[in-house]
Amino acid sequence: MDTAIQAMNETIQPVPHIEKQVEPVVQAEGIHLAFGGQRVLDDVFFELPAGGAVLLRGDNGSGKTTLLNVLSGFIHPERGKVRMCLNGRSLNAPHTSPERLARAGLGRLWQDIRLFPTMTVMENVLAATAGMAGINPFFALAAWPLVRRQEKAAQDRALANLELVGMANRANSSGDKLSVGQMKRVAIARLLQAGAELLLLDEPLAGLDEGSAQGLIKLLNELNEQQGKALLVVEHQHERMAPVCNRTWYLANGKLITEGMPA
Amino acid sequence: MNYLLHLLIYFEIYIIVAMSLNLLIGYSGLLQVAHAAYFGVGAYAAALLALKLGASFLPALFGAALAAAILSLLVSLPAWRFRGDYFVMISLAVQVTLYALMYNWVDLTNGPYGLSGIPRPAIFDSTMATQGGVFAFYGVIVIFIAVTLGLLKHSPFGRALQAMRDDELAARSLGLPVRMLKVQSFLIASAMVGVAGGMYGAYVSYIDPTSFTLDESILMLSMVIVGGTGNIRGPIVGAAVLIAIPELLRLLALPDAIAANVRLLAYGLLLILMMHWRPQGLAGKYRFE
Amino acid sequence: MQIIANGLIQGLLFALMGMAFSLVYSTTRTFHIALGAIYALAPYILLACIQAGVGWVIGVVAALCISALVGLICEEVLHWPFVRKGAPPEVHIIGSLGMFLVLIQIIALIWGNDTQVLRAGVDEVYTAAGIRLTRAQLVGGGGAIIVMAGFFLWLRRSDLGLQFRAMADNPVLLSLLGRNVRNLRRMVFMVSAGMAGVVALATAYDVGFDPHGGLQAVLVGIVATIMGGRGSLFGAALAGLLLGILRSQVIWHFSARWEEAATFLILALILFFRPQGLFGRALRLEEKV
Repeated sequence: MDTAIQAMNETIQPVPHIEKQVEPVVQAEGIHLAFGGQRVLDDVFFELPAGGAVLLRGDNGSGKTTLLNVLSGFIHPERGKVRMCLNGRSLNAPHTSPERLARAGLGRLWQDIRLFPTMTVMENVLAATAGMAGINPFFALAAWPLVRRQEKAAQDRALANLELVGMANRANSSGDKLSVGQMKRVAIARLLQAGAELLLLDEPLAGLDEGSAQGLIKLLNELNEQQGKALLVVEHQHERMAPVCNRTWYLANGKLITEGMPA
Repeated sequence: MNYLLHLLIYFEIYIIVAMSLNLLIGYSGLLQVAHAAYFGVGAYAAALLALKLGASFLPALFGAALAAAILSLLVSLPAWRFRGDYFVMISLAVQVTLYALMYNWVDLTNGPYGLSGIPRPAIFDSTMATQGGVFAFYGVIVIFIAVTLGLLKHSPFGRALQAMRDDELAARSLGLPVRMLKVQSFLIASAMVGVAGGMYGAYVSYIDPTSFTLDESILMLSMVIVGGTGNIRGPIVGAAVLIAIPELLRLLALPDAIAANVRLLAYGLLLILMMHWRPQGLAGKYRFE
Repeated sequence: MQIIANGLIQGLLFALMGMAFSLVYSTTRTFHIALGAIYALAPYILLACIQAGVGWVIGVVAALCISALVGLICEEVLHWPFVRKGAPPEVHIIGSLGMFLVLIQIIALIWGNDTQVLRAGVDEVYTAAGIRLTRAQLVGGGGAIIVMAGFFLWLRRSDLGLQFRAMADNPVLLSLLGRNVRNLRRMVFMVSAGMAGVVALATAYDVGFDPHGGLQAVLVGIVATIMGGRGSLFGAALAGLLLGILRSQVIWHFSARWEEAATFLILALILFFRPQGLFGRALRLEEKV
């Protein structure tokens, strides 16, 4: 058994060396969660290294999305610790709200994307800007010049992020005019605008045609290798994620297996 | 007394009511039925400050805004984890509770007998002797509030409210502080409708609890629904319709006792019809979706 | 002890009202405020029958049947069409508010705004173990117990009852069964209206009635539903009972004018410390928003 695991380990690609953080991005210990009498997460342990890219696999209903929900702070596990180190700050996930986790640098791409339907692409990205003082209405009224300066800076950043995902030319489109692939890119730009360092991606290739899928995979690779973002991807089409994810975890019967080679 | 000016002054008061409710329903996506209660809180606060403490008009208005804003926490704090039906239910409970206090706390509010002799609007020492003066003065207040709302709409705060309205889950996952946003938009909207309440009391010089019931809240709601949620034209249209309907009914020469009931009946029907045929309102931009 | 007995009787009526509201809310997720108008209507039907000389028995039956009919109308005219259009909850809420307004105004137009009574003079009093209860209280409390017990038995034993419970557990899943749901929904609205009618008649017999009593009643139903937890009929009933007992304590120790405020305070505390209510199941992620 040990030699098999050792053999598997030796075929794993080395992780690109990122100097930013020494601490792993996520350290989870002993997560327990049951729904209606069923153990969805049973004593789950894992460590996601800084700048790592991990593929999470498991059968339908095995709890992959639940694990994402726990990590993003929407569901509290019965037991367990999740320590996150984002942008140099350390957080205890189960006791932190999703909003604070997001502000700390955790980004989530929803399976149903969830762009804001009444806002344009640009407005969608701007809405995610972290650190805007003008989000407080009293401040927005009292310190109008500062707010306008921040707004200008936010717009520059938004354009840069849209360029990165290749959607700068559609900045003024409304959400309903975009293809699924384009919407996902905008959603990713939103996460970057929010300052995400760890991206949780729920079925990113769902609903994409061949060309869009290739493009998205390339983008994710770029985000991981060049921008140093850590990725945790739940994806059915696991073989396609090989260029991006150098680790694969398996979730089955509530147990998480974190050794494994790319499919 | 110039009847047209009288209507226009009412129009001004109700534009503020409609704009403030629009901030909640149209921009923040927070449906609630306690707006008349806060209108009443503002009216009573301004009246009591003027009558018992001798405050002049503008400070009384400020007090009205403050009182309404603080009491808005009664809805926004218990309800901040929720939206949709639970939010409405909590606002209903607050509406009924505040009305009950207005009616029963006789020592403070004089209960069903109401407060009379409320001083007319004044800037510093000069009281508005004429209707025209009141109209102009109130017009300035309306513009001030409209400009404030416009600035907020185009600020990061306004954008965050839109995001929260569109998809609260996504907004939270991007780090938007939705609970705080709900509390803040309630504070602002309630402060504004409190000011409108103070303006109302000063103009009609007598207030009692019957102007601040759930029926009135539903009327205010129908203003925003009929005029359209989400933009600036909507509240103006809604307020105009709200003023116009009783005037049209007046043409039918109904006896006073029935007129009030018929007016409310008409609004109820209007709401039902609007929900069937034009949920987004007559002049609105944003559809409930 | 007397206070507790009074509170218990009141609580039994509140429990039934809570069940009436919760029945619709748990199964269809509809904020059925128009139930308050149905509550207001029932005693008037009884009164009309008595005045027409048809007698009490027929009067009660007629009142309950007409209540059920109005409940059905709400479903057919408002909620089912809205469901078919895929309307968001706000549309249902506003539609129900409109219907509430329309119905109450119709009652006021036909019968006037004054309080009416169903019996003249002092009621018979029965004494046992040092506790005095009027006939009205016994009838009301007894009636509530019979209806609730009967309903719970029916829920457990009958086939249809099973479907009701399934709907309360997971409305979406059951809606995939299609036609069945339509009839189930109709039944839900009718039964809930009947229950509200029973409470209305009992209360009307005890203390009298007017067009505006429906608001207080439906608010009790709402608070009991929230306190009891989404999806739990038994929770709403228990919450109603507790609410009745607590409110009488408040009236006794403080005074009647703080009744509403106390109810709201209880609601606020529950929402803060146990937002899912006494018996509510933990919400799925999507429902939390």
